[in-house]
Amino acid sequence: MPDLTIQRIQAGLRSKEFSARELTQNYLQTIAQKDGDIQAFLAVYSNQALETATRVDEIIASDGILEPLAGVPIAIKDNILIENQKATAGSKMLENYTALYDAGVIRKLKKHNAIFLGKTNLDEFAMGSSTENSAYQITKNPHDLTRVPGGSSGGSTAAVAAQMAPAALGSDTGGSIRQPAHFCGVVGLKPTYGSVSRSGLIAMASSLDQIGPITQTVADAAIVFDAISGNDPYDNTSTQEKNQNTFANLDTQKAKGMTVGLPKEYFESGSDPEVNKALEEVIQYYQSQGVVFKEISLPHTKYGLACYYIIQPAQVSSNLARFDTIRYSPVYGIDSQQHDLEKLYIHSRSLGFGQETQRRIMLGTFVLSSGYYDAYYKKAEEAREYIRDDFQKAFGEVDTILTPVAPTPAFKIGEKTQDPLSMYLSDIFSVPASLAGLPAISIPTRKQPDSLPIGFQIIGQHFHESDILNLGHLYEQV
Amino acid sequence: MKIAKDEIKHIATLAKLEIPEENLEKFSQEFDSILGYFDELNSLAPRPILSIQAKKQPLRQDDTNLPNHFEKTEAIIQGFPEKQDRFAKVPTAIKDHKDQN
Repeated sequence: MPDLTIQRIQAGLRSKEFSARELTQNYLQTIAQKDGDIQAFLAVYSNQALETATRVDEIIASDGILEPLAGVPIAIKDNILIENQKATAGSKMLENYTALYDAGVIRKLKKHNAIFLGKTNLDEFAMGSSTENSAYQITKNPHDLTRVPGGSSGGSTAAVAAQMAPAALGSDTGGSIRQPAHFCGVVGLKPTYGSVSRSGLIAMASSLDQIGPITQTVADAAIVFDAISGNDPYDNTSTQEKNQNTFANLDTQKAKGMTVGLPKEYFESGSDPEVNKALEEVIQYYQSQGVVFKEISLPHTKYGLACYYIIQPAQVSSNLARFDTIRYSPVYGIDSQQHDLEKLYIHSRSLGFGQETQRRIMLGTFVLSSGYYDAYYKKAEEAREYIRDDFQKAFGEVDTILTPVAPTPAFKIGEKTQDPLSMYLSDIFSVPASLAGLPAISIPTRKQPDSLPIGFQIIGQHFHESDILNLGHLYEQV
Repeated sequence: MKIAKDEIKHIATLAKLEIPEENLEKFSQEFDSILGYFDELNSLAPRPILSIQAKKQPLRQDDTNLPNHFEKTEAIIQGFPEKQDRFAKVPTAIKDHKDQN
């Protein structure tokens, strides 16, 4: 049973076409067949997955109530905590760390009786755009094994693209759901900051981090978003608003009446011709459906990347200061008795953190240090205000905004690892929505045979996930 | 802006990291190119930062018996890499006075 969507799984389970156990076995088999090459998973939970599946089958047999995600297998990025399972965040620093509690999203998914297939690979602590920064393995793009899947949620997007899971959770700080979704040809939703609880997500840049779904269709993304969003008493930044019920309210008619902004700054700046061509086709399709497009300007777009790569490392250096190897997990190869406390910190952190993580901790420490705070961190916070204002003004004229996700399709493994700045540039179109806390979705364009996947991005207003899901859903009605 | 190797070393000390001598030059070059990219922010006029003043900041009750009280203290203690009784064990933090000379 290849290529099943969540909607198809829901129908199949309810009509008893297949059982949750058969379904789960099927995915576990696909993982066993394909993951040797793709290396999307860091851990596979065969026994627990089958146990949950059996429980769901019992509910079905007794005609009990099934939540929307009951019996749906899901892969989880390995920076999200599941009680009594390891959570490495792709780092040697947490090689031996077992989570003590469930993340907010996991608690919600457990109430649904969703099935956790396993944990997926990521750039260390979710820092990176290629999944090459994982301390454990390099995930390959299922469409071309010589290319990266994008990052940092590359394990999750590769798992869904290779049909090793019908859905996955990722986390997005500056594009870490949307950019790998674009590289792998799947749907990736970064919700509004505050829509989804960050409790139990290993913190990277706390003012930007957000968990979101990775799926094959927009409708599936809406189903998962509805399940994981909403208030969580363990996260004070989580929304107090009522759930939007985006799936039940999916409405292509509403999308057809929308005015969509095309920010000229996103189309002027040297994207690959194939990216622009793919987007033209998308715009033409929407126009044929009655959607109105309007050119807009987001004049401070060019400051987005510099702003992001100051604020993000600054928050990284603060959040990662907690990893001292005393409280969570030892770093192997360090004899704690051979050092005094200060030396133990320094040696363990130098051995436990990878190169990119150390680079960002250093950058963050620098921009926050007393001589440079005003020149960098404060300046970046000001730039963030300008970027927020740009969007706010634009949303006075348009309902949603359509842009590319990244300037190029998936690049080759190793192509950008020697030049950090060129790697950072692949986030240029995804960071502004993150800085402004806005919801944004990456949706695959119609793929040409023999070409790499290309996605497009729709950005919406705060807590208007319904708008971008409706517009995305319209694109899938061909 | 050129960041000297000594400054890289100082930042490493603040960050509790150790950059091997042979990597200092590479680090310094990478910092140059990344910080150079940040310079364009200087063309922006200063402005007040407003958004961090959240509209509504919920405060938790001043009460130890909250429904979401964290109950897994024992598990945290069990998870310490090295422990003695209920304490995380660390190497010497403060050197003996006589050892310092």
